Amino acid sequence: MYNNIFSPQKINSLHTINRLVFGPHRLNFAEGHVPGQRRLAYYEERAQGGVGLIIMEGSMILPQDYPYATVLNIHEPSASKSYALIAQTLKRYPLLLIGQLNHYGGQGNSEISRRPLLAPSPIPEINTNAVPKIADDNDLALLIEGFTIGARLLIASGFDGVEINVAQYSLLRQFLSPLTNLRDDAYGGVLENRAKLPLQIIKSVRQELGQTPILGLRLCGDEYAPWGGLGPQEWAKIAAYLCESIQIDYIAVENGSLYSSHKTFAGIQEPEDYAVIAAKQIGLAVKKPVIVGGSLQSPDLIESIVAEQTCLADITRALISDPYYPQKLAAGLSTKIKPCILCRSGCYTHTQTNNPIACSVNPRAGCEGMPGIETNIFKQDRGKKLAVAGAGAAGLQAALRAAEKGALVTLYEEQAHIGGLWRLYSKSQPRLEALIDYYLRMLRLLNVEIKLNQAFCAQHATDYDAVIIAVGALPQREAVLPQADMLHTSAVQYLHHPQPAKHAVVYDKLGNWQAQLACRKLATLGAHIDLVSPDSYLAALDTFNGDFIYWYEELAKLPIQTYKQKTLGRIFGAEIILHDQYSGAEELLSEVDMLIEASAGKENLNIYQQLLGSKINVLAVGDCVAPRNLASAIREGDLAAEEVWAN
Amino acid sequence: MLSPLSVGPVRLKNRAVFSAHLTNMAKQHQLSEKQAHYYEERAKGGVGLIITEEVTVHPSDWAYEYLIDAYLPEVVNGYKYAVDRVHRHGAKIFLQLNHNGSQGNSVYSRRALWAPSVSVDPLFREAAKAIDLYEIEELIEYYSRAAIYAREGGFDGVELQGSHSSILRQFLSLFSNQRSDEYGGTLENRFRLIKRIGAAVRGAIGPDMALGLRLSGAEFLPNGLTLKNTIEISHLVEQCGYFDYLNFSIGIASRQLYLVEGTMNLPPGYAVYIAEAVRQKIGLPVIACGRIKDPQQAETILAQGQADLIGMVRAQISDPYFMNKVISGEEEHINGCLSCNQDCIGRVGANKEIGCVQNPFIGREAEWNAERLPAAPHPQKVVVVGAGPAGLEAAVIAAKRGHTVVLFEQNHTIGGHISLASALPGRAELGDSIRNLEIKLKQLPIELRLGVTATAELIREQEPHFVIIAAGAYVTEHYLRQQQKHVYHLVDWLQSREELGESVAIIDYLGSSAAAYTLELLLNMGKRAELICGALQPAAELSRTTDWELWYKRIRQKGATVTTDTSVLSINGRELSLMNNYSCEIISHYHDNTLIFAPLKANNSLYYEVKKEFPAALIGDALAPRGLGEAIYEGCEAAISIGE
Repeated sequence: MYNNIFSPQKINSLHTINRLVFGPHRLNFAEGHVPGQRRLAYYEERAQGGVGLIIMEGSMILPQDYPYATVLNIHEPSASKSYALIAQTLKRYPLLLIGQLNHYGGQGNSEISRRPLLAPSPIPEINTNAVPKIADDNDLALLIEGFTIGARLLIASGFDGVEINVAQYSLLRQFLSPLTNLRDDAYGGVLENRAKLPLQIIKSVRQELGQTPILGLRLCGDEYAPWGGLGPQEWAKIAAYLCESIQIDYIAVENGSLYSSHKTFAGIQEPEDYAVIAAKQIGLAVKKPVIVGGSLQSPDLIESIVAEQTCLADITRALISDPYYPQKLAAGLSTKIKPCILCRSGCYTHTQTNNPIACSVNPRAGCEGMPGIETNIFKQDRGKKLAVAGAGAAGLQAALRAAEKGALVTLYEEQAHIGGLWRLYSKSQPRLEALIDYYLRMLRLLNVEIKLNQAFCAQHATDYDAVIIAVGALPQREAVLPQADMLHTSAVQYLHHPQPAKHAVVYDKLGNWQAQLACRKLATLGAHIDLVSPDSYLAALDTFNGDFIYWYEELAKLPIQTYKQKTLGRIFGAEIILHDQYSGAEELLSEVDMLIEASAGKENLNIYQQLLGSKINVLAVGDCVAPRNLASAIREGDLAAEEVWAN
Repeated sequence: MLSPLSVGPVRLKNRAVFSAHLTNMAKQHQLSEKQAHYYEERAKGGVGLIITEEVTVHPSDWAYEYLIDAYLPEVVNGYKYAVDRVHRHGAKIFLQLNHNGSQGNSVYSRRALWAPSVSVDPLFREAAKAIDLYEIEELIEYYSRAAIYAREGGFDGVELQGSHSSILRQFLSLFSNQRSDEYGGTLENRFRLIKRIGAAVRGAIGPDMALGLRLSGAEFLPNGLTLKNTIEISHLVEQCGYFDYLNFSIGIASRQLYLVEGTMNLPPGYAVYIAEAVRQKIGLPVIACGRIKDPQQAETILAQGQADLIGMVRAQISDPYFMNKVISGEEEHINGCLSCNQDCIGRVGANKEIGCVQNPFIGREAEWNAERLPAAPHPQKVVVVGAGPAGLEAAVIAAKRGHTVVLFEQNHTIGGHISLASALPGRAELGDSIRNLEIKLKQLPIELRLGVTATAELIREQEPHFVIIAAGAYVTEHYLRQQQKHVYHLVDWLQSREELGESVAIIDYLGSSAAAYTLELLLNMGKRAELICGALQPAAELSRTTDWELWYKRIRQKGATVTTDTSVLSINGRELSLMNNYSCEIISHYHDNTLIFAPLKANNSLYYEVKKEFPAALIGDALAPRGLGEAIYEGCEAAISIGE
C-alpha cells in the first residue's frame, strides 16, 4: 500500500527505515535539564511504534539562554551521560536519532536566568515585552563555540546527527530575518550579512563533526509577516545560500515567527498540508532531503507528498495521539489509528504554561513508563459485564478501554448518535468527527453493544457487574428572566435546536467554541448578533494556542457587534441592559428576540447517586461530575475502565 | 512592637509576623533548603513568628507547579531543616495547611478539582466537582495527617488557610457553597467542615502547639462573606475551642488579587479594619495585615488595639533585618518596601521563584545577603558611570565590600529615570528605591561626582581596576514621528512637560506602566486621552503587579478611551491612521498631541570603548532597557563580580 512511506531514505551515509519523523517538541519534563527516564519512555514508545527518525527536543547551548523552566541544556555537567543513555536505548530500534541545538534569542524568557535576552536587535519579546540585549562580538563568539561544543557532545553521546535550529524560537532565524535583524554592522543588512552568523556556526559545526555524522538545518518556510519578514521564496533562496559552501544533509521546515506562533503547529483552521508548499520550494532549491512539517496526518496525503519529492514527513502530533501509527499503517490497520484532532491543548505548551506534555485524545501521552500506565493491554477483565451510560467522549473512551481489556460492554446513549457534546463541535471541526468515527469503528470491532436512543436508568444496573456514568452535563442558563419577552436558551441547547432570530444576544462566559458556533449558526440564519463577554477580550480560552486570531478575523466579516467587559443587567420585555464592569456605564440593547448563554453547564449525578447505595460498582466521570474539557473526559473515562472494578 | 505575646501555648518574642506567602522555592514538592534559608534570614533579622507558605493536604489540589505536598511522609525532612534553622534565632514557626479547592486547575494533578459545589473559578476557568460525604471524610483525614507531619517536623503551630484561596472559605461562603446537606445552608452548617478539621488537627498536634485560622474578612461578591459574617464566624471559631488565634486577609485571590496583595495604589493598612472589628468582639489574638511596612504605623495599630500581631511580608522580603533595625532604633536604615509587587507577586504569578526589586539576595540567603557581604580579598579602584538604580546599587555593594568607588552622574541629581516614574499619579513610593539607595550611599566612602559626563578619558584618569557602565538608555527618533513637534516620545514629554492640547493619544508598544500612568496623569489634567496598543489588553505590566483592575476602573471612570488590537500606521498632524490587527480595517482618530512609548536605546558606547582597556561590566538599561528590578539585580551582580 504505502510503498513510498515505507521506503528508506538515505541521509548522509545512513538510511531511515521509513519516511515518518517524530519532530522536536517541548515536553516540560522537569528532569534536571537533561534527558531522563520519563523522556526516554516517551520516545521509546514511539520507537516501538516504528517511527523512522526521531529528532529530540532542542537543547540550549549556553547558560544565558533559559527560555523555560524545564529546558534541556547540552552544557549541563551531567549531559553526556544522560544524552548517551537516550542514544543507547533508542538506537536499539531501527531508527535514526538526531539531537537539536538551539538558542532562543529574543524569544526566550529572562526571568529564570535573570539575564537579559540576547537578540540581533532590541525587538521586545511578545509575551513579556522584555527588550533584549543587542548581541555583541563577544556574544557571537560564544554562540559559535556553544553550537560547536554541543554538536561534539551529541555525536560523542551516540546521536546519528545534529540539527541546528534556524526556525521558530531561534536566534539564528532572528539574525536571518529583516523582521528581527535591524543591525547596521557586518551582521545586518543584505542577506550575506544576515546569514553571516548562521554560516559561521554551520561551518564550525561541520568542521568539528567531519563528513559522516548527519548535519541538518531546521529552517523557517514562511514567517507569515509580509510587512517585513521572509516568505517561502526568500527562505528557498536562503536555504540554497547556506548549502552552497557547506555540506548539509537535510533541511527540516517549520513555519512561523514571533508574531505567528499559532501557525507553527497550526490548528484545524489550516489545511493539513499548509506547510508543504514552502518545504517543497526549499527542497527544489537545495536538492536534498527535506522534512516536511505542518499538521500532516492522513496516510494518503503523506504517501503522495513523499512520492513526489525526496522528503520525509514530520507527523509529530499524530504520533503523540497514537505512538503506533507507523506500525498500524504498515500492517494495513490504518483504521485503528487514533486520530489527532489538532486541538493542541496538551501538546502545544509553548505559551506561559509549564505543564508536562499531554494529549486530549491519548491520556497516556507524557505518562509512558509511569506506574499504572501500561503499554500492553491484557484481557484481565474478560467476561465482566459493564454498562457505560452516555456515549460522549468520557463514555466512549471508557467503553473502548474496558472492551480492550476483555469486558463485555454495553453503551447506552439517549441521543440517536454517539459523540455527546463534542458531536456539536465536530460539525465545524472535521478532525473531531474523525475521532468520533474512530470510536465507532473500534467499538464495533470490539463487539461493544451500542444502544442508541436509550437512556440508561438505574433499573438497568442489575444486569451488570459495574456501571460507569458518563451522561454529560445539564445545560445551564444563569440569567433570571421573569419579565422577559425573548427566547432564552443555552449555547449547547441552541446548537442542538438552532432557529432563526432577528436580534440575538450571545452572552459568553466561557470564551470558547460554544459562543463562536452559536454566532456562526445565527449569522447563517440571518440574525443580527450582539456578542457580549465579561472578559477584557473575546475567546479568552483560545488565546493560549492563538486560535482567537482566526475567530477575530471571522468576526469582522459577520453581522456581529461585540461588547467586552460587560455583564447582563436588567432584562425586561425585549430589552437587555448591559453593565460595564469598569466604568459602571449602562447600555441598552433593544428589540432582542433571543438570549443565548454560553456557560459551563451543571453536574448531572442523579443516576449515580441512585446507584451509590446499591451493591453495584459505580463510577461517575467526565462532564456529569464537573463540566470540563475533552481531555478531562477522555482521561477520566480511560481511568474509570480500570478503577470501576475496585470501587 | 517589641513586647512579647502568648498565642495559645506559644510565646512570641515580639509582634512581627512573616506571614504565609508563595515563594515557588519548593523542590520536588517539599520545603527546600533554599526556602529554609530564606525563612532563617528573617528569623535572624528579628521577626517573632514565621508562618510558612501554604502546603497542600490532598492530591486533588495541585493548584500550581511548585506546591508542597504535605500529605506525604517525605515532607518531614524539609520541615525539620527549616524549623531548626528558624529556632536558632529565637523565632517561632507555624506551618500553613491548605486545600485550594476550585481555585486551581488540573493540568498537573490530572484529576477533578474539589469544591463544595460545582463552580467555575473566573481566573482558572475550570469547573470543579462538588465533593461528596466520603470525600469530606477523606479531606478531614488528610488535614489530620498533614498536622501529624507538622508536629513531627517540629513546628510550633499550624495555621489553616481559610482565606483568599481555600476550600475552607469556599465552604463558608454562600457564593461558592450551594449544598443542601449538613455542610451547606446555615452558617453553622457551612462552618461544620472547619470545626471538624479544627478538632481533627487539634487532636493530631496536641495541646502544646498553636492552632490558628486565617479568614478572608470580606469577599465583596454577591452572596459572599461580609465583615458581619466574618465576625459571626469568628465567634464560632472562638466557641469551638480548638483555635488559638485568628489571622485575616481580604478578598479572593482569583477575583480581587489586588486586595489580597495591595500595591501602592491602596492606602497603607487598608485591611486593618477587619482585624480591628473582630478584635472588638473576640478574645482570641488577631493578626492584621495589608501594606503595613512602616514601624510607626505598626506600633500605632498595636497601641490602638486594632490587632495583636502585625503581618508584614513584603516589608521583610525587601529588608529581612526590618525588626532588628526597629529594635536598635535604626528605622531610617530599613530598606523600605515600595509596594510595587513587581518581583514578589509578579515573579511568583509568572511561575518563577520569588524575588524583590530592591533585594537581589532573595533565594541565595545561604551565601550572600545585604548585611554580611564578604569583604573583597583585594580591594580595588572601581569607577561606576551612572547614578540610576543600577549604578547606585553597584556603587553601594562595591563600597560595602571594601572597594574604592567613584560614581559619575551626568545630571545634578541621582535616580535616573525613576524620578520620572515616581512623579506619575499614585507612583510616589517608587521613589523610595532611590531614597533607600541614597541613605546607604551616604554611609559609605563613595565619591559621588554629580554633573559630570563620564568619558573614556575621565575614566582613564581614575586609573580604575574595574569599570561599571550603568549609563541608562535614551530616546531615539521614532519612525511615526516624522519630526512633527506635537508628537513626543513619552519619556521626552515627561521630562519637558510641555503644554499639550485638549486631546492626547498615547501609543504604547510595551504594555508599560509608564504609558498607563501617563494616561492617568493626562486624565487628571483634564485632557481627553486615548491609549492605543497592539495587545488584546492594555498595560500588561499592571496585570503582573495586580494594579490593573483598579487602574482600569479609574481611567474608565475618568473617561479614557482604550483602543486595543491596533497598529498605528502613520501620524499626520492631528490624524492618526489606525489599523485593526485582525479585521485590517483602517480608521482615523484625531488628537492634538501624541505620546509614543517605544523601547529606549541602550547607552552602551562608553562600555565598548573602555572594555578594551579595563575589566568592565555593562548593566541595567545600558545593557538592555528594562525595569528597576533588573537594574538593581545587575548592579549587585556586577559589584560582586569585581576581581573574580
